[in-house]
Amino acid sequence: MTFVTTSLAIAGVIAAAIPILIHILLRRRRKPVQWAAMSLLIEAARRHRRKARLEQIILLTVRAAMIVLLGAALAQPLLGERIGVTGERTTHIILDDGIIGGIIESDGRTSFERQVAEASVFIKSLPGGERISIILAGAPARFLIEKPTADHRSAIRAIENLRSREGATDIASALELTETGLDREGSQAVRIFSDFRRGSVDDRRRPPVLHGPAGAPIELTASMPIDEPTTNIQVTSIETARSPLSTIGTGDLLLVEVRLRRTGLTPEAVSNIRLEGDAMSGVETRKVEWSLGRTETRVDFQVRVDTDGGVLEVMVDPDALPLDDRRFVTVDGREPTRVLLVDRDTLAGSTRLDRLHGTDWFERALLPIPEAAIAEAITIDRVDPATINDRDLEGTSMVVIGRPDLLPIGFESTLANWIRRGGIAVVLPPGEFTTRPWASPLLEALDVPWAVSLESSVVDPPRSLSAEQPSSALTTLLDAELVELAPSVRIDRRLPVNDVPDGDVVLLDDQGDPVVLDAPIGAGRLVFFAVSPELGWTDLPVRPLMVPLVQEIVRQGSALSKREVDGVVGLRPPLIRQSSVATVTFPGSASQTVTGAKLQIPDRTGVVEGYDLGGNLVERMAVNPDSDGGFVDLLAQDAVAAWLESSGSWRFTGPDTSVVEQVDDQSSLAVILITVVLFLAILETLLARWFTRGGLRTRRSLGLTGANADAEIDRSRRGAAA
Amino acid sequence: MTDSTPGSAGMRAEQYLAPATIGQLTSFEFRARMIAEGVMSGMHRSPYQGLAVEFAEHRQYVSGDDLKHLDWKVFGRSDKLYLKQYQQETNLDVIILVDASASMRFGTLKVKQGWGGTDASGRIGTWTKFDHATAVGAALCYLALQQRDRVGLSMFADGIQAQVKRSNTKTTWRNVVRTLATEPVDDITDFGKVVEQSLATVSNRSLFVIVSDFLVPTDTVRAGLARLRHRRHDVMLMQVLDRQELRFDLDEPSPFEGLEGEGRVNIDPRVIREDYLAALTDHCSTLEKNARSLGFDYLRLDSHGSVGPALAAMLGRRALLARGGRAG
Repeated sequence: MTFVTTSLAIAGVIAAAIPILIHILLRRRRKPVQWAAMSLLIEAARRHRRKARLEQIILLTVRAAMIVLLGAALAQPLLGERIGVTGERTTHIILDDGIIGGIIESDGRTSFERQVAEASVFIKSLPGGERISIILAGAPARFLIEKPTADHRSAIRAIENLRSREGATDIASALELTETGLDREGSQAVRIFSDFRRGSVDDRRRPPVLHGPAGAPIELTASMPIDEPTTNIQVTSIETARSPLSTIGTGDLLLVEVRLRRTGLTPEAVSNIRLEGDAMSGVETRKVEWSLGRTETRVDFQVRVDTDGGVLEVMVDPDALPLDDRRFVTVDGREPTRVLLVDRDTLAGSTRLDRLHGTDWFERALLPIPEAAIAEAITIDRVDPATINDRDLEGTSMVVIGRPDLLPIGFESTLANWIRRGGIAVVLPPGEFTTRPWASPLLEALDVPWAVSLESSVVDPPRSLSAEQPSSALTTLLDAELVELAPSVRIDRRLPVNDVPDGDVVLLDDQGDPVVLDAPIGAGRLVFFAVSPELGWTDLPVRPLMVPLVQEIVRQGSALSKREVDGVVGLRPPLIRQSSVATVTFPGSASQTVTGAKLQIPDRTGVVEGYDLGGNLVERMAVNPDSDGGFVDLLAQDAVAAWLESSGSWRFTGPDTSVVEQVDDQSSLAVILITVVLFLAILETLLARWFTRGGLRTRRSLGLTGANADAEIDRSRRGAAA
Repeated sequence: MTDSTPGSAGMRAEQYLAPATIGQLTSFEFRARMIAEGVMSGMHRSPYQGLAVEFAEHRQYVSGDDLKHLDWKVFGRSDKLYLKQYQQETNLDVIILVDASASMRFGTLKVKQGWGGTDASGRIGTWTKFDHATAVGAALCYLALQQRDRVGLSMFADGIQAQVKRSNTKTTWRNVVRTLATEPVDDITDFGKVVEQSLATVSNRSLFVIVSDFLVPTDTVRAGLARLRHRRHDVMLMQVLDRQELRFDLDEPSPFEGLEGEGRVNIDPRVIREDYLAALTDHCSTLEKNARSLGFDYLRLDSHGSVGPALAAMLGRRALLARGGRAG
């Protein structure tokens, strides 16, 4: 048995001992009363026994009802749910080992270490036979002890070795894991140890409803949300931008954009940012001055990086939560961007502009001046669609498919896998004639909802691109020019595309129909032209918009794809782009053989290295902390209770594990039960007194009198009357 | 024996006869005289009067005697008042049976310094039912002897323990007093046996005065009374109970121990008081009903109360019945 407050339990025992001591001290041996009318006394006792039996049954009923109702009140009855599960009790302990647990407190311990200590005390206080399982809520939520055990000592040892991770907290998933263990026999309890700062509560997800065995109620207890404010400055992103045209000097000039976020307290402050790594020589530092209330800022570095690439690491001054004070980014070595044009060459060297295919115009837009230095940065290859295979995609950054209708049957899945790993596919309409419905298999493989028509249609009268184009990630740098460049583009033919979500449209015509579409697929992208860049369809190829549009598709597409390559602790594994990678080594752990496209979700920040079969390092991938889990803002208890409410009625306890408040919309039932118990206690007291005194008689009978006493009474009455 | 009666001049009979008063008298003789005089002061007629059958002798008139028995001839000759007495009247036998069983040892009225009483009460320190019973018995003896009736006394428990043979001689009184004062109070009550033993010594019609607490089964009492009735004896039942027994107003749970070896029972008096009083009422009413149904008198006396008025009332009632032609 355990006590919520041991001191109260001890005080209760002492208080209970007081009346016993008084009874013992004041007890006196009663002297027997010599009695003559013993037969009458025995007869009276016999008479009373019959009556007393009924009285005792009534008292017993009242007392039993008191105990039952008191027990029911303490058990937090839930209306409509079954009470009374037999068997041993199992407590499922959820520990918040997310990044938020890395906050260093005034005593030098992290908040997670404090919670582990509290959990150890809690486990020690459990009765010997009580079983426990332990679930860790740091993403991805997982079991530490899945099969409930009564070996409390081992459980304590297991949690004492834990450290907080750099991933977000995922209590909802932890409760889902808990739910899987709740169908066992015996009463069940769930106890969450967490500070419940903002980073611990993911309000995009709701905790699952917890059901005990056969729907029996579960005792749900959580730590009281902490109320000690602190401040946390975190690096939320580090992005690099290197111009594909950059070939100047001994290294590439790299623009590094670092974003910082401040949560919790936001006083005026100064932060030092430090950028270093093996991709660059030396160290770059910046100073950020935080004004009062400011929560976000951006710091730009322009550094010259090694042409072989490497890793950059950005750090801010250590603060209360040091786990999210640094972030990594990999910088690729300078290699030419390979673009693969997938089209059937039917021109046989023709240079007539009106017969050039869309892929031809793409080539010209990519290399507007073939002999210029940019040619070193881009390699363009061609392949016939009927002969393309997965080896053609190896090392390719972008494929431009001019005849998607001629792709080998089944190639859609290969293409989809390549895109998901970071490739950019630009798909053009196959022209006026189609031999098969090519769009549906490709779009289904990519899980894109668009509905592309089989045949193109002539636009009469011709349309033009709209001057007001939607905001798109691909054309961010062109937004200012689009107002002037877009309206001059004429459209004579188009392939109707329907069911396009607003966010997927890059360019619109003046009728509002999509002209260029873009959808992120995994780490890569699908860019679709509803109007083929051929002169039979549009004059876009000969308009000034063509070159910057194609250049941006390559540059922004590559940059956007790269963002999804990095891993995030507890959330996303890093993406292997090189198919030659056979094994990877995670920071702080053993190597993992690559058997599929996906790696394990990392549990530590650092650099993942990929090796080929020969043991050569062929790829490096960054793993960063999940900054979304590092919000240190305080949450009110009501807010936490409201968030947890979907899983049941929770009690909140303080650090001493005492129940300080009950968050239970059905607590009124317990209050009613307590009230009934109090009423029964009063009733029991009255009944006991009544039965002891022989009833609630206001006048005690005098009993019998002797004839001589009768005469005395008569005389006294006469005297009083006189 | 002295004739002095302390404070008798202006003292009312009730005051004489309260235990607090008679308890101060060190001898039974004084006690009996006080009670008897107190009783007589409230009466105008001798309580024991038999039927006139045959003239026997004259006796001097005493206050309260019926004038119809005055011998006017003697008065005319000698100017003195004499009553004519008849054989039957002078031969009235009064047999006093006083309960000396252990239950009579009970009493809750504290004995004050200098009180007299029986040896038993002197040891216990309380005015017991036995004290009260002996006072009543002595008074009745005294009254009877005053009227020259023959008086016999028996102390009983599980049988006749001591006996004073019927007589109206002057030594009778001394024997009665000695027996009442010194007889030990012990043993259980066997009412049927006592009646049988008493009847064995009596041949003529007698008045049996039984002074007891009658804490025995009522059916045995009824059987004994029926035996007496069958032998045409008259009976007066005088039930002496302590006030504590009558009211049972104890508050403390205690072990109760029977005086006649009934064992010990732990009882909370508050709990069973009503049941006890109901049982006592049933017992006493049954006893009274049995007595009345056989034509006997019944009188319940509280040992804390005065003896006189109740006794006087009963004897007066008997005198009235006697005038109506019934033998007393």
